[in-house]
Amino acid sequence: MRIKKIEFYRKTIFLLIAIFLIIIILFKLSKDIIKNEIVNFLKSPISNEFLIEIINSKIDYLSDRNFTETEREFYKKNIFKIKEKFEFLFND
Amino acid sequence: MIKILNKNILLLLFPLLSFFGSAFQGQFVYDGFHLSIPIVEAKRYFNNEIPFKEFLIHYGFLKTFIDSYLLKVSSFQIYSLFLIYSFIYSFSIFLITVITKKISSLNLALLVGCCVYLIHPYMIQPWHNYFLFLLILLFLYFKLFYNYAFQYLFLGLGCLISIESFFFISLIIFIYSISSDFFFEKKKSLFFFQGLFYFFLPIFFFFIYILFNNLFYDFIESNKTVRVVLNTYEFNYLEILYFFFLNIFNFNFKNLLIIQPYNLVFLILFIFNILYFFFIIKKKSKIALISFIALCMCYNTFHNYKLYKLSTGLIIGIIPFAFFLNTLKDINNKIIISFLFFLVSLNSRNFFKDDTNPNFVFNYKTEINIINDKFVYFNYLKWNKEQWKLYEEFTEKILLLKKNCNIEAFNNLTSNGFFTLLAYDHLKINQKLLWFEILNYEPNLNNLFYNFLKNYDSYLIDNINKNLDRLLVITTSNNYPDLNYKDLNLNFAGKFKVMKFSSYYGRNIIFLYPEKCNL
Repeated sequence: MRIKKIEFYRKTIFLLIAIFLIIIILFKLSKDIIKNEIVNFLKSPISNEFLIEIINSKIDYLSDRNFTETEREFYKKNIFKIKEKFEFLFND
Repeated sequence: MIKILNKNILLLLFPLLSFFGSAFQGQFVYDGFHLSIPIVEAKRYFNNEIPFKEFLIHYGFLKTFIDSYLLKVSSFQIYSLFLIYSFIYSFSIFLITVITKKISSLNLALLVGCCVYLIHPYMIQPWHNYFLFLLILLFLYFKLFYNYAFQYLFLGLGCLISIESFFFISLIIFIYSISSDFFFEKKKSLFFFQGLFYFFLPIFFFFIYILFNNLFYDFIESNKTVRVVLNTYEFNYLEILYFFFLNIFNFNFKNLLIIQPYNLVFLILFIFNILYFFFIIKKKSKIALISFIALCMCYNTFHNYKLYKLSTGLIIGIIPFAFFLNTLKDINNKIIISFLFFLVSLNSRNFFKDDTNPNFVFNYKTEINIINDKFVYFNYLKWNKEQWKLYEEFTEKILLLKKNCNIEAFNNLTSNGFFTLLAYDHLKINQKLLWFEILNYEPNLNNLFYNFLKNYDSYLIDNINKNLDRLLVITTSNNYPDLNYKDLNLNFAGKFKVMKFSSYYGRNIIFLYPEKCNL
């Protein structure tokens, strides 16, 4: 009876550890596959086209709309900073 | 007979997977730092430059010697080194499985092969660790199953692969092994002297070479790695031991299962081998030697705790583990422990570019990267267009400057040794190290090589000052006009003109050519 109980506990513990490890492995595998796909996409020539298209449409959208007061302050503050930072490019 | 053959062929499965995987990944490796070392050393060796005196031997003389001849046979193609070292690593996996099969069973041998493959699947770079690993396994194989005195030759050869760091370890292994021959196997004193002879034979020949060529001082100067590493990290011997234990006994749950999952495998092997060694040594078993060697081989992770170092050292401890599994009487226990160990090994494998597989090839690289036939050294390597363009432009500029400015010598102050390699075909290289970079964010590395050759700075400055009219320097733009590092102070302004070149890993690279030269 006692041996049977020990046998039961042993199998249960083994199964729990095995299931736990399998879950971690599957989780890692799926995470890695997703990361892989993201990197492959970002580095592919298609992604450049895709991003350029998005940026172009955003610029189009931005040029047509009026700024709010907060946005006006934001651009005023930051665009000048960027201009100062990259001034050397125009001087060279 | 066919059945036996078929079963044993299975042992080749994981070594073959490792070989072809390493060979495939090797095509995409772009590393001007590590890959240039063996090939430039080989070129300088065959150009009758004196090792240790005129150029630095980075690992061990025997490694440079073997690499040089292998490269010469393959017309100095870097990729051939990848193939050879991939073979060395996969053959080592095969040897582990063969040893395991001989002391346990075919099933356990397959499990061991599979686990070793999962933990460290592919060879990373042609480093000396893989060579040492093979020599240690060859020693073990002959010691366990034949015990001829000549097996000690492998330990002696290992010393020459990495003389400074491995010599004392191999001496300890030698003393332990030869004393066990006496006490356990009742060998005669003749065997002792034969063993001693084979162990010291390669070392003796090497020192004859050193003394006859009057290189003893240069050899000692070039072999200060351990002291320099300790200096660099400001550690003492006890502290590096402490950091090793800190690394291996890292019980952080997230670290053991997700961040560095291979640590769990090595933690198991480390604890198991310590306990098993003291348990089994009483029984005068040969297996104790394997545990002893596995524990000794931990030395190579003391200063730099990396997976490939564990996988070419402590991993040997998997053999006693398989032997122990084979001795278990309860078949259920055997299956449970084997399966759990397999799962832990599988968990240590990531399917992304990381520590376990730094040469991982993303799909986009297989589509974008191309072969370029213009450079014999880089045949079969697949790099992207920008990377090829860098070396094409470099060669063009070198030829242009050589032609118009009568340039004869070249100094490379970047970390990319491929520049040295390509320049060596046209110009004289007058520096011991093939690269030298001053970077604030890699202080340890710079420190290492700065300390390596204490006279290097004066040597470098002398060379630059003496060859002002004939010298071409390539460096990162942050080293112009002043090359400032510690007490090394060199001003290029007024002596050299600047030519903008390109960028390497985001750093702008410039050529410095003689002031008198007009292009």
